[in-house]
Amino acid sequence: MGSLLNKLNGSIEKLGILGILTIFILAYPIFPKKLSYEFPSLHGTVDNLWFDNFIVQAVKSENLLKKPYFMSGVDSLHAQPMLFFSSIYLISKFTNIQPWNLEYGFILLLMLFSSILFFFFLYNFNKKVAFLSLPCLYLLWTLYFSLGVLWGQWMDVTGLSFLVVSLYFYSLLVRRKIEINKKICIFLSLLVAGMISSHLEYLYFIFTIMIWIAGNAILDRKNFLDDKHNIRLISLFVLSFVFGILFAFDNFFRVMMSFGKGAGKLVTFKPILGKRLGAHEPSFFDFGILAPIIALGVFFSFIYIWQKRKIPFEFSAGFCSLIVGFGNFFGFSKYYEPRFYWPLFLSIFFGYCLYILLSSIRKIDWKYILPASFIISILVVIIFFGKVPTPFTLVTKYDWEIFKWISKNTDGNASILYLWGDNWYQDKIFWYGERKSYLIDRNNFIKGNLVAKFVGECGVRRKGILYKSVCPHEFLPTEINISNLENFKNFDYIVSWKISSYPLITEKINKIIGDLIENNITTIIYQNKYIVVMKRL
Amino acid sequence: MNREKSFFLPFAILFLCILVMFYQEDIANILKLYFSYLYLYLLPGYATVFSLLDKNTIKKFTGIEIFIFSFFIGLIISHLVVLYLTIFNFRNVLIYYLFPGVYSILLLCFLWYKKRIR
Repeated sequence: MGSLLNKLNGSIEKLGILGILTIFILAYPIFPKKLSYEFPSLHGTVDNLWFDNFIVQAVKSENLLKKPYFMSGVDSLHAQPMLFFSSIYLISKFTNIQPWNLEYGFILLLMLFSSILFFFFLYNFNKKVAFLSLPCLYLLWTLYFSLGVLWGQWMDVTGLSFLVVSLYFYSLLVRRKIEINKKICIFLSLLVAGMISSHLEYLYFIFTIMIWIAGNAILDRKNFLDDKHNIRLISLFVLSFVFGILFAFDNFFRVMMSFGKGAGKLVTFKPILGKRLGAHEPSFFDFGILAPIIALGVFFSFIYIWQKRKIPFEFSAGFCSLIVGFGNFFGFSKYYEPRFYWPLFLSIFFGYCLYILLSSIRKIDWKYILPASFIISILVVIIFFGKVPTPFTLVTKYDWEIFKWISKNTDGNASILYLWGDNWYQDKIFWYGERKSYLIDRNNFIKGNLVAKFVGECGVRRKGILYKSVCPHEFLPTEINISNLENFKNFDYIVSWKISSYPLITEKINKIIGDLIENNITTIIYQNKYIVVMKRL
Repeated sequence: MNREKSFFLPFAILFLCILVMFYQEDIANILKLYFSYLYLYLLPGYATVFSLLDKNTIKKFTGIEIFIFSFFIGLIISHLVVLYLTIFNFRNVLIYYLFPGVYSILLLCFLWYKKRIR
């Protein structure tokens, strides 16, 4: 081992990159296996169907910003930050590969690059800690942290990746004492603009730097504030935010304007530590056996800060991620997305804890660190074996056939009622039909009360140089009661699966279809093996 | 500059091998995708980084740092170009095809001009 290390001759970081690549190859179950799926075969949740539809429409209309009529009931613009969409849009246009085949690969690439940078982030702090923190990265692929990729939280992952890059760049300025000038300011501003354009929430970059500045100013005021480089770093931090917002002002204002109506609803207190906040939010205890090690690492880092009387920039990033991730304690219960990158950000505490524990046993040397990191990685993979999920789909080839038929053969203003499909519980699936769509309220349907709900959401419209939030209910009825057969005449087409896995539902659907045809309200115009399309007479 | 080259080539080849390994059925698509990433993001990214940061600053970064910074800077540059061209109604796809090349050539000309003035 000693001679191998000598041969590496100072390029031991390449072993780290190799380790990260190996961890990424272990994420094989998450990877899409083809680049030529004919329909979105890996999209099974509301968010990934939703974002995929945005990009598919952008590629079709060659307009990135426009939100089609069928999505919001009015021609408007997207209220989302657009970096993820524009990136996939560009590649899709350039390569002629369908957007749904590109999204997973793009996100995994961002995760790979940000993991490599985070490794170097820790490497600059302490090389041994960086190697010992590597096993924690594997948790990026386990439930529930991996849902950031699989459940379509792609804008969040893009934002978090830009956050890692910005933090790393700032940490280099701190550690390598790089001279700060206007070009460095533009560089950092571009990275901040990237964060704004990916997801506004990731401006919590601010807090990392504030913790670092405030902590060091309190602990070692004289040395910290007397250093001119530190003062320049503080000015750079303020200026880069101003310029970052200026670079991405359209993204920034479009999203800010859309916040207006619903911002109050976002503030909810759920002061719980271990339980999940909702159906799929990762919790601290998803770290399993690693959770106590991380907690101990936090404790050791406090001792380090107390003894050295300074906060390393790397620890402030870890603390910030921990504080923001536990936003549920101070009113941000819906803001759980930073937790998707906890395996990355909290790996510093994991690595630091192992480093302290190992060094307490004997003098810690490289010939012990690398085997320790390797063995712990294998143990982590064994412990979490089988917890790496795979993508699943909601769109079947029968659904896709119908959506294509509807988009080609019906009038652009037609309204479609989707009656029942066992897999139609995520309503954004109907946007592939590219028409104004209504879906029956499934709970009411089972109870016998028929209500159709519009499948759409709010957008924004330009008002001078600013934006105004617009929602479908301002322009069209978003709920239509169809308990009476005559009310089915509100829709131009009615689409339904003919069978369900629940016999009672099958009976109910066939009765409705039979009644509609018998009463001369609709007639069957197209059908495949399982799905029927009826046109209003 | 040697440090950049020493990282970029092996990493690019290794990455291509991994991609081919994963998507064995779609070699043609993989190559298209691979070169589109290089052209759309890495080219404008590298051009921006080398024209924005001076020689002494670049020396303080390692090859992998320059490589990843370039990729992310390329992402944001491409995004801002597409976004603002859309806002001002320049939506011809040809512009998107051309901009990474034209943008990089312009920056290189600017660098050459600056060097000549000195």
